[in-house]
Amino acid sequence: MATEPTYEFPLQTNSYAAFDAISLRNLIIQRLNDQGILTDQNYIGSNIASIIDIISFSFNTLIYYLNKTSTESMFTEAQLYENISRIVKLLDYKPIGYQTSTLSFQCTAVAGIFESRAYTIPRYSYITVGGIPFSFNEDITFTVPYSNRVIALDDISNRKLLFQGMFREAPLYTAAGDASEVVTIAVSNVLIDHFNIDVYVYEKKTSTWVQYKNVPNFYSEQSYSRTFEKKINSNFLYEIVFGDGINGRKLEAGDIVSVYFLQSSGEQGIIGPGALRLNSVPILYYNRTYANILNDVIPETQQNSVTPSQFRNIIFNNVVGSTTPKDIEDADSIRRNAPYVFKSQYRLVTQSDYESYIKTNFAHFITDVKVFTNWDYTGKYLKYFHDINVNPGGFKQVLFNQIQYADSCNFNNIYVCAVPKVSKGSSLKYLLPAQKETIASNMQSVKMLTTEVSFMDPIFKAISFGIKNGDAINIDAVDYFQLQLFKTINSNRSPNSIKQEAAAVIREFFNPTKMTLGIVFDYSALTNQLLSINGVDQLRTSRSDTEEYFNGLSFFMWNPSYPDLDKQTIVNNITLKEFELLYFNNLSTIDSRITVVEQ
Amino acid sequence: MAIKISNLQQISELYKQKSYYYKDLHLDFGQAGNYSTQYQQQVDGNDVRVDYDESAIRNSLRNLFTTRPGQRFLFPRYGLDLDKYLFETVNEINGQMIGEAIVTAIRYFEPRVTVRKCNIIAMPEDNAYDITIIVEIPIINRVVPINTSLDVKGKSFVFLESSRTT
Repeated sequence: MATEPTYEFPLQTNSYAAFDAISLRNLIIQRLNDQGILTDQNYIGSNIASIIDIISFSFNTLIYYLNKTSTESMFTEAQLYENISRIVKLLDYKPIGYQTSTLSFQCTAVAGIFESRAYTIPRYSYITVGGIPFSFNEDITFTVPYSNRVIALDDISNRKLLFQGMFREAPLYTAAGDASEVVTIAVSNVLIDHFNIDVYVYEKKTSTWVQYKNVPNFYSEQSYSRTFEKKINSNFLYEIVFGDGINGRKLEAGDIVSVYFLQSSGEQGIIGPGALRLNSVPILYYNRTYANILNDVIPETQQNSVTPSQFRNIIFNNVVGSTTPKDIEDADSIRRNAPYVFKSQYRLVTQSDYESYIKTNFAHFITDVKVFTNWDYTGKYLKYFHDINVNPGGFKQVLFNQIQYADSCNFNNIYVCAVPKVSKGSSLKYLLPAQKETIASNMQSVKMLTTEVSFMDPIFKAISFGIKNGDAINIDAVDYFQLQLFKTINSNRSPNSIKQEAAAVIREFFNPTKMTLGIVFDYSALTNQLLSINGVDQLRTSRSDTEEYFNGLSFFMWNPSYPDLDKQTIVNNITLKEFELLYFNNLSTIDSRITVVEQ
Repeated sequence: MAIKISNLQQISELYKQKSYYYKDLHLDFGQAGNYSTQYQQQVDGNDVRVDYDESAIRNSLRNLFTTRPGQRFLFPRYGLDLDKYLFETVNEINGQMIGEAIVTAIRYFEPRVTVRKCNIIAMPEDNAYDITIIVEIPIINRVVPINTSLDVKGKSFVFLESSRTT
């Protein structure tokens, strides 16, 4: 497109896109003045001025919509949720909704209450903790081997998850019998957990309730398969789509649809460690439809449901707090994830398929994930242990993962190395067994048949101020090292204010909630950020009990499990290994490790 | 010795060239034309109809009186909110307030005229105000009365076109 100014107009031919109402009005007035035919364009009350205003404002509005629609119709530019969610429909991507917080738990059965047999806690039963409900999203079966003593219920402890929220039943829907019938869960301003929506259909022909299975899409479904698709529409309401009789069973006229969804309490639903032990009331879920559904869905012979009093006599405890919930996927996340999902076609084959699947589906308890092949595992992860002269089996996480998740044939494993989501101040380092179980069982249906999902836990690397004494790196003395900031001679800032700002810079730089696996520790960036604090002239790392010092920043970095075997000094940028995760040692007390020196 | 003011001289020369000072579009749109003495009828021209000088200014004043602040997006303060008096009682005090509002608005938004006089006659029996504004147009040395009527009962403001020129 030509952009040279034309003879008639001293403007670029594409400059129309840059006009707003005011600039266009000024241009029109200028042109009319130059022509000299009319005079009153310069007086705001005149008729011609009114017409100029109308033209300018209309133009401005049109340009606004032109810009908006031209960008909002493009996959790479769209910012509005409604638009991007429509665009990714082409890729058959279904955005992920809200994900509630989860809780791992341990439980014991009180002596004398249970007989020695198997019991089931029926789905949707919940435990309230000070008014905050946590629900089971499946039937939980456990075995009581002895009736006369306290039994730790190992079948479910650390293996199952509680989901924050309570299950609700959407109003019953009577099907019209159309192909691809859509049922909308018409509840607004409610946080619905994306992965806890269950659909049951009362099939008129057989007079029974049947649970339908959620599938990513119908294309691979048989005409009789009892499945549904779930999607969030542009109004943030869930739509349940049934089959058309060719792909997926078509609803018959008179079928009744019952939808159960988990309603989350959001951020208010987060509880701390030990809260279950102190203040919990287990309650069995009940309503009439639910009872009918349960009778049809679970055969009577398998119904060994605990009684309400037995349920109350199971003592629950949680050693770690609940995870933080994950908000509905935003436009940027959709843009990032949609191509991956399209590429994978809902099958997990490559490393990126696995990583994107885990990040998307378990975002409520995972912040970062890397997937390793067996070659990576042996060539990088196990090699790390050999390099520091440690038997990998001696590291309990390696042993635990190997026993718990790996099969006897190791070479077909893929290893998931995930960082659990932590709130500030939390000490959770590794994924809990129940979270690993959830990931492994969830991927079972989409992973390659020949691969087995196993886990490897990240290697944590601590970092703190430290100076090498000759060749010696003394990690035991790490608490004696501190950062000295030399104040500019002419600066009017108070030393305390400089110290607080420096502490804030370091806290943000090492923010544990933002740390990812295998990051580049950007030493230069941290130095620059500290030196750019107003009033700071120079940095020095010093030891408080001796006269040692280093001009600039100097750190010790070490593996807290093997502080004597894996330690190094850092005075430069460094890239961590893909399975290593950095954290600042005692970040909460960073203020006490910074001093400001007045020159 | 004569005093020469260059600005006035420019205006005078402009007037000699064009024979008008102000020229505005006439609304509604129409075809320009002149009365032909030869044919004794109106003869259409080739251009759009325009208003000159006093008529152009009258356009501006009409627009000012009939525009409420906020109606012009690009000049949100432009206008005269006489409508708010439609729901007030018709009395002298309100009449005085209307007069002050008119004079202030003309001073702000119509620099081409000077208000000589603004007569507001409250007519409680008719629920109306009779408004006569006498403005001077210095550049053409003319004094113009403008008659308007604010009818409280009919909830309308009427700009009377029958104002005469003196």
